[in-house]
Amino acid sequence: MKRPKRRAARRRAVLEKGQPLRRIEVTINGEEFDLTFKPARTLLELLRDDLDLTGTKEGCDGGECGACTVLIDDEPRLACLTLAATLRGKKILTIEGLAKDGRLHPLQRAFLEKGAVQCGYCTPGVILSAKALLDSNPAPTEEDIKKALAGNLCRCTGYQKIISAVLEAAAAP
Amino acid sequence: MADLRVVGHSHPRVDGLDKVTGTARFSPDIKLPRMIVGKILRSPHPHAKVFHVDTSRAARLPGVKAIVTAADTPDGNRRSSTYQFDDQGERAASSTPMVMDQTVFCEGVARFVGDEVAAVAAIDEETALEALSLIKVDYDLLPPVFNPLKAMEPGAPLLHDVERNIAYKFVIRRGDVEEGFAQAHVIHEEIYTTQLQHQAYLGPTACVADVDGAGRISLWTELQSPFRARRLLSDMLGLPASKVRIFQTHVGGGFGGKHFKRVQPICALLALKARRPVRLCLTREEEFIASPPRHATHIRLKMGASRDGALVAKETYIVLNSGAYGEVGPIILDTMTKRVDSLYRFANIKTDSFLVYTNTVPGGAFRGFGNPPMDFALESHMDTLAEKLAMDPVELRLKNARRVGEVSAHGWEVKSCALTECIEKAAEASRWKEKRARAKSSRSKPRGIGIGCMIHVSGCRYYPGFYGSNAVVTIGDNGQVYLLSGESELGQGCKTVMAQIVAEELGIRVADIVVPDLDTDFSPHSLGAYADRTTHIGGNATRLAAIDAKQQLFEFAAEMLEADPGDLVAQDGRIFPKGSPQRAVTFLEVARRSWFRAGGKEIVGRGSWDPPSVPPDPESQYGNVSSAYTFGAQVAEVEVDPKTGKVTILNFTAAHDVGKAINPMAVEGQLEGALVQGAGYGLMEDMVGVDGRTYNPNFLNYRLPTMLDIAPMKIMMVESNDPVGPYGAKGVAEPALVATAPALANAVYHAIGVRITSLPVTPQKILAALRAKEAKRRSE
Repeated sequence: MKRPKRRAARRRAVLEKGQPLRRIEVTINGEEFDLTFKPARTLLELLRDDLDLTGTKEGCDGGECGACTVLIDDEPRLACLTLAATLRGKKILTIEGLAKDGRLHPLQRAFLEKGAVQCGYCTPGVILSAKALLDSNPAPTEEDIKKALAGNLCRCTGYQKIISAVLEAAAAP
Repeated sequence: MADLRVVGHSHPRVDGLDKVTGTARFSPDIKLPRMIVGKILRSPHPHAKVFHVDTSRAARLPGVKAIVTAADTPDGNRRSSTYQFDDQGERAASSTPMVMDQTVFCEGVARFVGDEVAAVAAIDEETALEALSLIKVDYDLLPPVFNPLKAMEPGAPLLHDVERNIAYKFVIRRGDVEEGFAQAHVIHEEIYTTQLQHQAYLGPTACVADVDGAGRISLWTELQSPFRARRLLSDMLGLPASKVRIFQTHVGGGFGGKHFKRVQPICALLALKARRPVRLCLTREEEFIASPPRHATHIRLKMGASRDGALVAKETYIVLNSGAYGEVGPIILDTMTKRVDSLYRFANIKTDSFLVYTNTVPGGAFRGFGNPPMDFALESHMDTLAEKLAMDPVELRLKNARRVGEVSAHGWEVKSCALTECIEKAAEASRWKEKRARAKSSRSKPRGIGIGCMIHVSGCRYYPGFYGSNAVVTIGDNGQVYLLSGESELGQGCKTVMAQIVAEELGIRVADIVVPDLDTDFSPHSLGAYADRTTHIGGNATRLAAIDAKQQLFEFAAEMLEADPGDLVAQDGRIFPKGSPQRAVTFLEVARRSWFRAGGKEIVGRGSWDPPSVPPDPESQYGNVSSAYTFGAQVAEVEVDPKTGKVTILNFTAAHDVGKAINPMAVEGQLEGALVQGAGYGLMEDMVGVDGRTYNPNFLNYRLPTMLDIAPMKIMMVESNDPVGPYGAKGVAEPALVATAPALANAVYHAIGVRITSLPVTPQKILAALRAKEAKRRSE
């Protein structure tokens, strides 16, 4: 059997051997961090394993499901495919940073009220993709939403209620 | 039921806030001090003797804390419990016993690519993976067999010690099929095949295990039936049940795929050996290659109908590809064998069905549980029969539809049934007549409309013992109410539904109710989320617990009101004598009194409910297996591009008899989600296996429907108010997927006149069928 993951891990161990640790300053959810890590550390590992920000989910570790979507300088990006070392000086938003002073973001409220959440595993990534959409296009059509969120898999909801929730959040005052 | 205040009204999820803010912890998110990482070594061969596992080099790698193999498992490495007991607590004479042939690790023989051979726990993932590569396994390759029809032939390699690789079989005879066929005006015979479909929940299965100083093991994991898992674990680990505790984390989707798996006992063994907390999380690839998907099937179906459309005979031959192990396979075969027979008024039935081992990934439970493949065959067949009879497919179904008050050929007593109404509503709302009659040749991309009907259960009993649910409702010092249920929240929303039931009975708000996560030390025993039993059975237990708590609370209220407890009413947070709302005391005041007054008590309401269903007789297979049957009809409209074979879904119309929608928004969510999953089953999803290897073990190549694949869905909930279900409720989550694939296949046939008999209905199959049709036309 092919074992791509195992080979990748070994290749990574070889690549990292003797390489100096990387150090960056980065802003995560408004807080500044000075972080040191191995060169091949991904943003997903940095968030989940080093900073215990487990709201960002790992669904496939291959850039295929969208569960690890976060915003890097307001753009939706897959944390599992992003090397942490490339983030010097960047501004990162994860689901934990979305509610402000205990007040839910309109998307979070709409997802709750419209029934757009079932198991909730895809939810953080979906909400962040939707936030990036609404930030650049405050009045999206259903087609705009479908295009923007096509990279976020959801196995529970059938997507319809997610679309309704994004439309609702867009209409929110 | 007219004055229900909470039940029957849409309510947001009680666990929703946790999920939209990112604080909800799923099993891969659990982290304990000193926790190390587990990884599994799997067989690279589909069939091989494993005659030596050398772990010595791996053990010497710095950072490796534990290595376990079959040799480390107690008591012969067996999975030993079916959890099917009789009234005396003895292993029951089940009508359909599971085949418990999967051990913690494969021992002696590896039977599929991915079969677990050994596991390692190390200080980090890299070290664990490095250690796996240092384990030397000596395999002696055995001839494999992948096709179940070949596996049944004499001389085929045998996987287990059973003849012709047949793990289980049914022989069902009702009435007289020969006589039925003799009366038939039309007869049609066809072979249908269906594929492996993966549950593909977004949240991978993980387990964190920790052992305390007294040797007690705790597991944080995602399970559909934690109490069954506790028993299996105690059997497999050779520990008393009191030494095993399971904490249910949030579950990242289940759909049948989060029942007990090898990941839990392996993680426990690693933690026991390392004496440190261990996290074992399956990769997406492991989920695909070694987590039991929906079985692939082969179905030969022959049916006859009289001139007026009455179904007079049904003869079925089923081969269910079990994969390398049996497990829950017999019950899935049971479902395939019998369930659709109660959808229509069949009297003459002959069915032979076989569960057959092959060297492929073992199949398991998946939403619908054997019902979707058979329903695909039956409902495709119905359309062909309708055509031969020159009848409208809707008319043929209405002619034969199951009705309330009937007892089916297998002894199923139908106490509520809105099948006819579902068919009529779906047809009307989809403008069936108009679209069916529409000329299609004028379009470059023909359009078609198709229907599928279904029947399902709300719980399904296979043995005489407890098949019920328990619930506990307690009332705290500030009027807060705790609901403990043993049923599993998988995302389907049962915590919310149960909280609504408690709120309804106690006359309080859902917001006043706390629904803690399941913990097998404290939560009451229930069987868990399968067979669509949670709302129907768990809901009844919860309702009884709430009523019990209410009656105890009324004793205290009666003192305050100087009234008879039997005369009291709880409503809108107040308690008052019937007809005298002005004399009310608040729920909070009474709760405080019960908690604080001298001689008071903590109110603990208990509810137990075991459904009045009957296990089938092991010989005749006759018996009323469920206390409520669900029905539905789905209509799909599609557009087919004859140049590319691409099918575009234009819309769905789904009418389902849900009994009573306790949380309509959640029911709608179940139906919408199932339609999209069903469309995946019908059109796209297929685990491609070549020589026992899965070639698309990732989301890039195993395509799930995305937001771009969906079409408008019109959902209609038909409430038949079941006499047994809580407030009339029946199951909804599984039924919603069953009829989707045949509705799509029938719509494709209506559009372009080719019948695809093998799922999924892919562009390649459509183009091949169109070419064959054209070749046939030319030769005529």
